[in-house]
Amino acid sequence: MAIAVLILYLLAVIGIGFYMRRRVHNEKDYLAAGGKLGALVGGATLAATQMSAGTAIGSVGFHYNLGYNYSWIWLFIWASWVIMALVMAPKMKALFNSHGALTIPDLLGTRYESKVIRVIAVIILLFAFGLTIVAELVGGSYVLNVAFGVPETAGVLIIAAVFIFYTVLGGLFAIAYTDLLQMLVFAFGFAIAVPIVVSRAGGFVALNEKLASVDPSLVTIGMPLTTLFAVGFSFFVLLIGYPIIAIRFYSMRDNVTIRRAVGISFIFQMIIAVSVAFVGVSARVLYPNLETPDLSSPTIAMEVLPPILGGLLLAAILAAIQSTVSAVLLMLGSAVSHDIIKQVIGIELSERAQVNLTRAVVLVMGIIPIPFALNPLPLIQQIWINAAVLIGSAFAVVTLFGLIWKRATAVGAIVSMVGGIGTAAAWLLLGNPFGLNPVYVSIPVSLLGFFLGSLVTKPVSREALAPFFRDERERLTTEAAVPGYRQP
Amino acid sequence: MADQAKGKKAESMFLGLAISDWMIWVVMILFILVYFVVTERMNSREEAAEERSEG
Repeated sequence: MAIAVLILYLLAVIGIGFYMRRRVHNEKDYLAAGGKLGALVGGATLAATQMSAGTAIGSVGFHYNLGYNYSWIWLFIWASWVIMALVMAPKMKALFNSHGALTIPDLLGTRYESKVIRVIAVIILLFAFGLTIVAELVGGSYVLNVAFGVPETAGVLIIAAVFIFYTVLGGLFAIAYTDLLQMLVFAFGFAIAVPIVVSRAGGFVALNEKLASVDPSLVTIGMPLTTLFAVGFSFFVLLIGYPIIAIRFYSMRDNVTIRRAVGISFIFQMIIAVSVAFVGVSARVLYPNLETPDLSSPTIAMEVLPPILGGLLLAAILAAIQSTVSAVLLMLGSAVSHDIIKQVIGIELSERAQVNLTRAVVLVMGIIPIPFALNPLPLIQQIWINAAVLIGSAFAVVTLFGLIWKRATAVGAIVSMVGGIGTAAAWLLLGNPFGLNPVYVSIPVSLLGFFLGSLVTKPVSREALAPFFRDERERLTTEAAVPGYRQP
Repeated sequence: MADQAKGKKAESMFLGLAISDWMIWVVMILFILVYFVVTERMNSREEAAEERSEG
C-alpha cells in the first residue's frame, strides 16, 4: 500500500509536467512562468525550493541527535528571507520588467556591466549546484532502498527520470505547480505523522520524560547556544541572495505578491519545522539505537505509521528532493542556454527554438549527474553543506551589496566572488582549521575584495544602475526629457 | 561543571520541555505575524500609491 501511494504521487507530478507544457510559449514562460505566479503557488515554490533531502532526512536526524532546540535555525533562515523579500526582490522584479532578466547571471551581468562576471557566475553555479543534484539523487535512492529494497541504481534512475521529465516539458510552470503539490504532500505527510508518533511514544509529556532519561539536554539545550548561533548565522549569511531561491522572485506577479508569497512560505516552513522536530525526537525514543540518525524518517514511515500514511511520508521525502533538484536543474539549464549561448555568445533564436534549446540543455544537464550518483562519493550528506558554503561565499556579497551600493564595480564583484569561493574552498580543503566554519573567513574576504576592488576602479554607468536605483532612473528620464540637461 | 549544573537547575520546564524550547514556537508564530502586519502595511501603501498615479 505504501508503494501505491508513492507511485500515485510520482504519476501526479508527471501529469502536472505534461499538462503544464501547454502554457510554455517562450523563454520567459519556460524560465520564469511568464512572471505571473500568484502568492499561494509562489509561496509553495519558495518553500519547496528551501526544502530538500537535508530537511526531510538530515534535519530529522539532527533532531534525533540534539532534541528540539535545533529548530532555532529556521529563524536565522527566515531573517535572511526577509532581507531578500524586502531589499532584493523589488529590484529584481524591476529588472525583470525593464530588461526581461531571467537568471542570476543576468542580474550580475546587467548590474556590473560585465560579461566576465556573467561567465564566472555560470561556472560557479554549474560546479556547486551540479554537486547538489548528485547528493539529492543519492539521498532519494537511499530512502527507496531502505523502504522498499529498490536497488540504489534503479532508485537513482526512477527519481531522475521523473524530475527530468516534468522539468524538461513544463519548465518553471511545471516546477511551480508540482512544488505546490509537493509542499502539500510534504507538510501534510509530516504533520499527520506527528500525533501518531507522539502517541506511540506515550504522549507529549511521556515523550519528553523518556527523552530526558536518554539525555537531559534533548529537552533543554541540545545544541549549545554558541554553536547554535554560529551555525544559524552561517545559514543567515549563505542564504542571502541564494540563487535558486532569489531566482523565484522573477516569476511572481509583482512586489505585493512576492511579499505575500514569502509569508505563505513561512507558514509552510513552520508546519514542516515543527513536524520534523517531533518526528526526530520521537524516533530517538522509539528507536534509540538506529545505525545512523538519517534513518529516522524512513524507519518511522515503514515501522510506525499505517501503510498509507507511511507511503505519504516517503512521498514527502521524495517531494522535498525532487522540488529542489528540479529547481537546480532549470537554473543550470538556463545558465547555459540563456546566459552563455544567448547573452555571451550572442546566438539569437526564435522564441520557439530558444525554448527547445533550453529544453535540450536541461535534459543534458539532468543526465550528466546520474553516473556520479551511481558511484557516490563518501560523505555524500556533506556535499550539500559544502556546496551551500561555496555558493554563499561567491554570491551573498555581490548580490546584496550590488543592489544597495551604487559604487560597486565589476572588478570589485569579481574579486569578491573569486576571493570568497576560493577562500571557502581552501578552508574546506584544510579541514576547517580551528573548528571555524568557512563562512566566517570567506565572507570577510569577499567583503574586503568587494569594497577595495570597487573603490579603486571606475564606477559603472548610470544606465547600468538605472534598473536598480529609482533616483538614477529619474535622472535618466529627466535628462532624456530635457535635451542638453545633465544632472551632476 | 558547577556552572553547567547551575544552568540546568535554572531551566524552567513545562510539560516536560524547557521553556526555552517552547519559546522557539512562540517566536516563530510572532515572527510570521509581525512579518504579515509589516508587509501588508507596505502593500496597502504601495497599492494606494499606484491608484493615485493611475488616477
